[in-house]
Amino acid sequence: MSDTDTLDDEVRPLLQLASTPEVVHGALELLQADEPAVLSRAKHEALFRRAVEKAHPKKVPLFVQGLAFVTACLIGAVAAVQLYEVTAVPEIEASPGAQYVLDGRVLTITAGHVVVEARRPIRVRAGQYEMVLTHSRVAFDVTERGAGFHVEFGEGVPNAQMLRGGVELPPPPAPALARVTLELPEAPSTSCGAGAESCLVALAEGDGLEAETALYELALTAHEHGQVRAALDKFLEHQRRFPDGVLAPEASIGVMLSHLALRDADAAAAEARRFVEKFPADPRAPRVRGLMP
Amino acid sequence: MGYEPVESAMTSPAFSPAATAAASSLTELKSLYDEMAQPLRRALARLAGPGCDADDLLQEVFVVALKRPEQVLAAVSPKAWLYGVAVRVAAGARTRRRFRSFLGLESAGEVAADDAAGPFAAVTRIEARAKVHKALDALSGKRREALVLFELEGLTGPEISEALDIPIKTVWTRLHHARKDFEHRLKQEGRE
Repeated sequence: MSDTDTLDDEVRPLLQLASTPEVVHGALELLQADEPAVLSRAKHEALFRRAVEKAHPKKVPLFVQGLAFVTACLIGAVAAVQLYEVTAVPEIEASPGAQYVLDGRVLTITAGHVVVEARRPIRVRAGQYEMVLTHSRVAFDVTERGAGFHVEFGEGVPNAQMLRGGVELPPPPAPALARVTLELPEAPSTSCGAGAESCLVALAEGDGLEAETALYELALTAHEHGQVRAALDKFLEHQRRFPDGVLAPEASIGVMLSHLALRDADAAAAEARRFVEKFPADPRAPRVRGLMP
Repeated sequence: MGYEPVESAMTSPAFSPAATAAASSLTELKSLYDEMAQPLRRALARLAGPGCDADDLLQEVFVVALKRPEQVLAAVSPKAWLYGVAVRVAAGARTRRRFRSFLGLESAGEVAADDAAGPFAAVTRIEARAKVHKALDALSGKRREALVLFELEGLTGPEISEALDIPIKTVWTRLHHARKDFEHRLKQEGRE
């Protein structure tokens, strides 16, 4: 018999006497009767089998682990690319009549009210401004007089000048000759199909009405795409090569509108004066006179 | 009924002494399981309180035993070793239940009905049993373990000492306080 057994025998009766075991035993007897039902043989065996399976789970082969890892990586990569693609496209809200062209990461706004929200860097060209936006939302207003914008949040860097959220730059004040209601007429059709620029360029290098029309159409297309400087060059080239051409008045109006878009009021006024002198019988002459100071 | 590790150990081409030992310890643990499953289940139900799944807890106890067969089989009393694990497993179950109950994921356990002796007697018996459960539940974990293992499971002092890994004197002290506390709480329950 060990020491602990001796102690057990010595102490236990004393403790039992000291703690009125009858009450305790009486109460506990109730619980003793509350024994859970005996397990069926099948459940008894099943419990042990499950315990064995849990204690010694089958090891997943290394190649399966590797395959799972590679699959998870691929899914992660695809999700990352998708997320990048989603966030790469800027959110653009344009009011009716607004004109803009999104070419990759460059947005060119030529007219109207356009709100741009960019999560990734994007270059925005609006009137006299060229701005880089990142994590920002900017509202642009582009008119014939020029562009104004409001940085709603984030940062905008127009022409290398950083502006933070809340800043507003209104459009420049209207030049003295502002109220222009002139429109450039559509070019007569050429033998080239629509949008065949290379054909038009080749045609414009020749002579005659076809060449004149092609050159005018090239200038008009550039103007419509907001490439005002290029359009002006083409209109001036038209004036130089076809001073008495069928489309000479249109080219002159093109020069006027291009100068206005570039905010060169003096040059526009000079061209208006030339137009009125050269084509006094033109039905647009009265309106062109309105451009003159 | 065969068990995969045993079968694979016996039929494996790489039949080794280690595999034989593993198979042998598994067989011994199976015998221990056959002998102890029912008393352990009962003890777990009492230690973890009403509302617990005694079968799950029993499985948990044997998962521990199967992971450390050398400890179980080398113990002075494998029975006490298993009770020791059962005490910890039941304590974990009580904690989980309190947590779930706190989060509102589980309601308090119900005491099973027993209407063999007629409806009136059954109600009285259920009420009495609920009060005893409540008094037992109100004890601290250490006192409840000592009381349940000694009074209900019939373990000896040295067995409890080994199961709980405490000195024998501490067993008696805990038991003494557990009885007094239990009696006091029973009287309180009786007055309510």
